[in-house]
Amino acid sequence: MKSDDNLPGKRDASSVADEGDELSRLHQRVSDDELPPQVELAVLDAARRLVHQNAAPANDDDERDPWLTRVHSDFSTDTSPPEVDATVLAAAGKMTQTGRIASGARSAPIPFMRRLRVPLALAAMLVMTVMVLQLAPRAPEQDRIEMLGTSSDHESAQWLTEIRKLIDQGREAEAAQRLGEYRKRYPKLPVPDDIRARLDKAPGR
Amino acid sequence: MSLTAIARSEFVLGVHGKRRDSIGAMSESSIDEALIAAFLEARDERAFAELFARHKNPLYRYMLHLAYAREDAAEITQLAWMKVLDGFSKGTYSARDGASFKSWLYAVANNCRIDFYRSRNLRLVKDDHVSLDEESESSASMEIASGDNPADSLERGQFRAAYFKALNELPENQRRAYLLKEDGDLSVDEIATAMSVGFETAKNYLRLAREKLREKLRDWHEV
Repeated sequence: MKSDDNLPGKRDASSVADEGDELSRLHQRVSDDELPPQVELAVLDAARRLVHQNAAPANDDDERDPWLTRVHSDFSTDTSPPEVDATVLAAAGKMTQTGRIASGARSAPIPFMRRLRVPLALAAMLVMTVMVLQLAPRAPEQDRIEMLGTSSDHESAQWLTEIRKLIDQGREAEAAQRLGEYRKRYPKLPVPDDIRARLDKAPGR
Repeated sequence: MSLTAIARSEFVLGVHGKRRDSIGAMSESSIDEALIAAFLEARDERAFAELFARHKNPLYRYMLHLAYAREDAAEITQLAWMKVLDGFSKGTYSARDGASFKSWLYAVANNCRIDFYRSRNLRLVKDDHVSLDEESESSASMEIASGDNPADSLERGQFRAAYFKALNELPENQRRAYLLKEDGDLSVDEIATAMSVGFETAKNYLRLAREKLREKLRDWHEV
């Protein structure tokens, strides 16, 4: 077993003196009348807390091991590097001036794959959507309409073939009659130019 | 000193129409909130400087025990503070979320640590921390060099090395919980929030960490 005054666990007068210094520092800051009210309030409260620190029990005392806490506080004494402090405070200053943090202050570069994550996800979603639409069963109504359309195209073509035959045979009157029927039957379909021209040239028209 | 300060705080409270008993009830997190409000609403840099001063060293120490190297700890700490400022500007942090600033700060810092090592294709592996071992050795020799009594200093240096070694050997969750308590002075509730675990889990991590440390440092424990 080790027992030595140099070992942690012996909180001496120096730590109390440090607290006194801290109080003096806070008091000085409060006394200079430059701090805004909220900050002043916070600082004063912190000062008050320091005064009562030794008397008041720490929070969650049951979650602490006093010996380990003393060991840790004695051995873990590093302070934040000055360059880090300067960078952070400069960024905060810039934020108050511009209302936002300068982009240069955010130093961590975004990894390549993370940068591509969103575009890749969108592209994958688009491909999936197209595939699903392609593979989706077609509505029966749509199929019926397309079948009707196909069969009516076929029929109209037959009509036109017959009309051309009649013209070829010199039976223009019959061809014109057929064309009339064709127009009634398929009012939305155009009459091919060759049929119209040949009937227009036909004698008696 | 305190009488003047407290008398002045009475005045400040009087100006702001607050009751005296509210001072006593003002918690550490309330102070943080007041400073954050002063920074964001009054755009007062000094409020942030005060907030930063309150947490910079504990956060740096916490990260020092979790990072692989001292330089990494500095860089991650800086990144974390930048994220905090970013969070303030984007409104990511809100006191109304119920979480204290401290628990949010340490959660942000841990995320920065994970991102930091991920971006360098390094996985966070338990028991792979080299920095503390190196630190322990160097600090042990430093103690010998600077101490008045070489024997005492040597013993203290050895104890320090043993302590950091034992700390380093803790599973990461237990080490984080322990460090959040010892370095960050977070309550169990805050530790649970910072680690995104339940209250009982956080409490358990702490208990196990302390038990293991005490066991490993049994020879050094004072009677």
